[in-house]
Amino acid sequence: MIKMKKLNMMTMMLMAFAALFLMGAMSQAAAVDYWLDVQAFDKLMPDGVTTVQMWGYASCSDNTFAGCSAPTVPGPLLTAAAGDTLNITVRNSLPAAVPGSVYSEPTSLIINGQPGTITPVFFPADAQGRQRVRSFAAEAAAAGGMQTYTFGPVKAGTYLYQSGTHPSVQVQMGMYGALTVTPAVLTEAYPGAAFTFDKELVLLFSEIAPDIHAAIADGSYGTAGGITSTIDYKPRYFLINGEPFTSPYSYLFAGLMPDDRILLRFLNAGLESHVPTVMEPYLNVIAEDGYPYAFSKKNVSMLLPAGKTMDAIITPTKVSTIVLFDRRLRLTNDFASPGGMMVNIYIGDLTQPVLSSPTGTINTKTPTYIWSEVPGADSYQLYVKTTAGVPEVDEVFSSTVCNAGICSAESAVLLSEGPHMWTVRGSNAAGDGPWGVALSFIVDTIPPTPVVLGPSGVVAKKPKPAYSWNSVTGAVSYRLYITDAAGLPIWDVWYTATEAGCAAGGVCSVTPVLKLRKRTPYLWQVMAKNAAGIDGLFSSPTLFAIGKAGTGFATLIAPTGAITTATPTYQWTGPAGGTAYQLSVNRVVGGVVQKVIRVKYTAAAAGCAAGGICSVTPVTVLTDADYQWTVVATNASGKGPISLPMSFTKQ
Amino acid sequence: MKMRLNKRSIWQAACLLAMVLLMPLMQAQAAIDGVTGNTFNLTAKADYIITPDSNSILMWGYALNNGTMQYPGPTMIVNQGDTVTINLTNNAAMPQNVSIIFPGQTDVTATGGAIGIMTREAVPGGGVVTYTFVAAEPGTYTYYSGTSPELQIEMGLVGVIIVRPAGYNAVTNRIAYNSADTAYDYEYLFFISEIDPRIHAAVATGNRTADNAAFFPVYWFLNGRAAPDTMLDAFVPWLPTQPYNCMPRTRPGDKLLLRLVGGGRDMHPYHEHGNHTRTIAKDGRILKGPANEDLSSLDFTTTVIPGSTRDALFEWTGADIGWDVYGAIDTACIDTGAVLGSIANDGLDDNTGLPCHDTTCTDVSPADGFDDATKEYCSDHGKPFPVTLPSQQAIMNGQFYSGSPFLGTMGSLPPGEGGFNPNSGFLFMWHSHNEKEITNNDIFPGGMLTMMIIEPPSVLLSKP
Repeated sequence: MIKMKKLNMMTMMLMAFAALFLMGAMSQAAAVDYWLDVQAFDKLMPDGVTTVQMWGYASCSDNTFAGCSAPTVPGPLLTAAAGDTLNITVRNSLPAAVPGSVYSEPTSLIINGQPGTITPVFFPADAQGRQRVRSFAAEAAAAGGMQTYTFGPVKAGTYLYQSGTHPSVQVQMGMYGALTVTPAVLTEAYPGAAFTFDKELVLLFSEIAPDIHAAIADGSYGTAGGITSTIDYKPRYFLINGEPFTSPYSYLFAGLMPDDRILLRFLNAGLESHVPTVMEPYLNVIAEDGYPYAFSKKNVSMLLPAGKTMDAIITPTKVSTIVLFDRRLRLTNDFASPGGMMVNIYIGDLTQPVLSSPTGTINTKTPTYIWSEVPGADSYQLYVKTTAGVPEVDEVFSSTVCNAGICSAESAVLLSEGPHMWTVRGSNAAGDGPWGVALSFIVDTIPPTPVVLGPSGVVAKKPKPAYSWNSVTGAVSYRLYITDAAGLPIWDVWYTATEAGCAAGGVCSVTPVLKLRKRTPYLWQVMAKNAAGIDGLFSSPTLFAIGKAGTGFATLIAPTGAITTATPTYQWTGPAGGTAYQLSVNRVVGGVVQKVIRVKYTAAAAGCAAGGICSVTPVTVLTDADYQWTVVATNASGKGPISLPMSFTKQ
Repeated sequence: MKMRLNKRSIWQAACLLAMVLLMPLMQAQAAIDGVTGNTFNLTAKADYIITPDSNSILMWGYALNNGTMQYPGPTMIVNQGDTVTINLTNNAAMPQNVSIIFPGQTDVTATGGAIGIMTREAVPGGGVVTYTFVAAEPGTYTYYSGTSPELQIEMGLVGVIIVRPAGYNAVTNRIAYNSADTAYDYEYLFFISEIDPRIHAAVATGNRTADNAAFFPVYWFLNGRAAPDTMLDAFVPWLPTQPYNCMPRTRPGDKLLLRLVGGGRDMHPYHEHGNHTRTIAKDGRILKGPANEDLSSLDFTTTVIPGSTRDALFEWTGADIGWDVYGAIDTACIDTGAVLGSIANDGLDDNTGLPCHDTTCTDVSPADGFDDATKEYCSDHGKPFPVTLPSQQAIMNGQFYSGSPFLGTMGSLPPGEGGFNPNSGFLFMWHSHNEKEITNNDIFPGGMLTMMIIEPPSVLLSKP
């Protein structure tokens, strides 16, 4: 202390200068090293099925390339301070060239706008001595080659690093990324108070033309008849920071708050120009290609040309979601909408609630909605719509619906039957929070249709058979419905689940006091009713008859409907092992049935001794009238039941 | 001094008086075709537009008061500070939700309808959603659908909003922004857009996807019309769904305000002949720095960014052209105000009241190098036309040629020629300089093209 006091002013100033000098020297002399490994990988597209081969940069920890993260598109964000020397070592781990399968080539790395020594590599000269550039910078050779690229002293701003070799292929395949360089004052985007910012977002635009990627992957790129260039460029996926928009419920959360000056660093690594657009606030464009403007420009829609970087500052004034999208309308994922270059940027400190129920299939029209509490929210907006987009519930609840972190609310609105989506967001006086990731659910208050077990076909039972079916969830009673061959009901009775012996689930079975005639076709079906009193649907009618075991029904094919011939051909299929068939044709006149034909045919005579379709043409001439016909089949087990009748009209 | 009044000069004075009296009335009419007020009822519905090659294309558009769908949607003209309310109804026949978003407007509230990604949406079958905002800042703005914009903007759900500055007066203070240097005489809308009819044909069959990879427009429009329909009158009955025209006219020295709006998804190098334009604002914000630095720029190609707007001022005087655009000096022309009732230096002969070109280029107030009345560029006064005109038989006359290279002068023409240029004005093509865009599905001329007419100073132009 005493010694310090003795220091005179001059000494102190000198020390301060020395400190300043040292700091300056340190910042200017700093070398920043990055190691990037170029690798191929497959990227899953938003449809969840399609994969596209990409070439991306993987971030590695040192020049052994031992500890590398997975490759990404765009490549890792590189950062440096103005004045630094930036060393980027690239290793070329692209797949080796297997003729006819994978395309392989050297690579290089460039950063437009940053100083560095560039040594282009040329293709061999042609016969006239002309040379074309193959790589803008020294190459990392195919199959494991390495090269270090040095830039510096680097300038403040936003820059795109990208492949300098065969860019129409390599940049398209994904070899690009962002470099941000901070000036001496870290809260400025560029030197000067006008470029002060609080938070920053990097927004890198690019496209995928999958046909080019497929041609690269299968080795057909550049071959005759294949794709040879980007002249017929057809991008189908449009990415911001490597991802297309896939869900209205996904947000970019970056701790952004109202009144923050948010620096948006736009980069376009694609081949198309794009137009980032926000409704509000205005994009205050402050720089392009790393050069600050003397005066900022206010834009709603700003042009972001291919290969360029642009910086803008926005100052949102309220808690809100800013939807940033490409006004060139690249808003599709292949053909699907919404998609493409769109991103929800959330401004505020409310969080996304996590939804838990309802989900799946529910059997009430007024479900209870349960979600996690949003800290700081004093109300919640519940939104339920059909998947077709029809809104059904749009209601605000106070935060009193929450207790111990869980919120639970019910709407009085009756939902429609069918598939729905629901979501909820917290709000407070400052504004609205982000919507929770929507849950899908199906309102299905109609009880399921029971599956019948029997009787079915020919049953050798006493004339009062038992009817059985599988119980269904939520059913309190079942309706048994039996008709004769003409469709007239002969039994229509509701049974409680208890009466059917299936109150606890399992198989339901009832034995009505209904006596059936032998060898006569009947149809039966069953439906369920739930506790809400809602009927389900009938099971499809099941054909059965009481008869000899082993016998079976003939199934009629033709004639049916209106016919003109007076001697129609009758066709049917028999039961297994049918040996003989009795054809009966009756005329129906004013409700009176008159026998017209009753003929017995052997299976051989009907042309179906070996199975297949039986076909006979009786000589009896039919007059113009309505007819009904049936067939009785005989097989080794004996004479079977009468078939279900078929009607036709001779005109 | 005793002056003798003759009958002619009394008649002449009466005519002049009538013209002076009538002028404010003519100026008072709406400057750009559109609808004024602060509450607008729009209905989204489907209809067809017609292109000059006789194609009929399915569109979705905004109709005013449930009337006829129109492309672009109604131009809504409001005043700065107005609370603007827009009720949007989704017509029963529309298959999708529709909405409107308002780039450049702040604190837009939306009520009713369904929640969409960008705003609330009106559901099919008569759903209604109401948007409200305060038109806080003057300027040219656009509005468009925020629902599947890649399809719905293409289908035509897009339009223009003009906010008049607080100090605006249609007669005494025609300004674009609250700044005297944005004053203008005439204003015209250039809503620039393109469509790919294959998308519209697919929508007609129920396939409602916009294939961004295959997008290939073949029609290009100014205010919803392709040339030559751009030059027809507004509201002609045979183009019921394309009410707006684009036929700019001005006079030497008058200021023409171009309100350019990027309505489609592509950029178009819209090219103005005759002189540079001065871009004074973008997206409804005047191009001035924080200390009022002039950030405007001179351009002769005003490429509008999709979804963006751009205001530009255009003025034509013939300055520096090197010859007298009014032709030879008429030594018999007396324009000194010598005859009672005549006005000195009004470009009209004191005795006949007809336009004439006198010996003096009167540059007194303001002393700016131009004639005070006719805006003639004085340095070129009397300079001869430097070209010997070919004989009539050696040239092909167009309908726009007056038969003379001089403004306001009609030369001799073969019978039937010159019919499109009754005032002997100068015509300049204003068009997309991406030349394929001045076709209608491969047929030239057409597309994004119109003619801008410099009328002689003596022609009285209503505003516009």
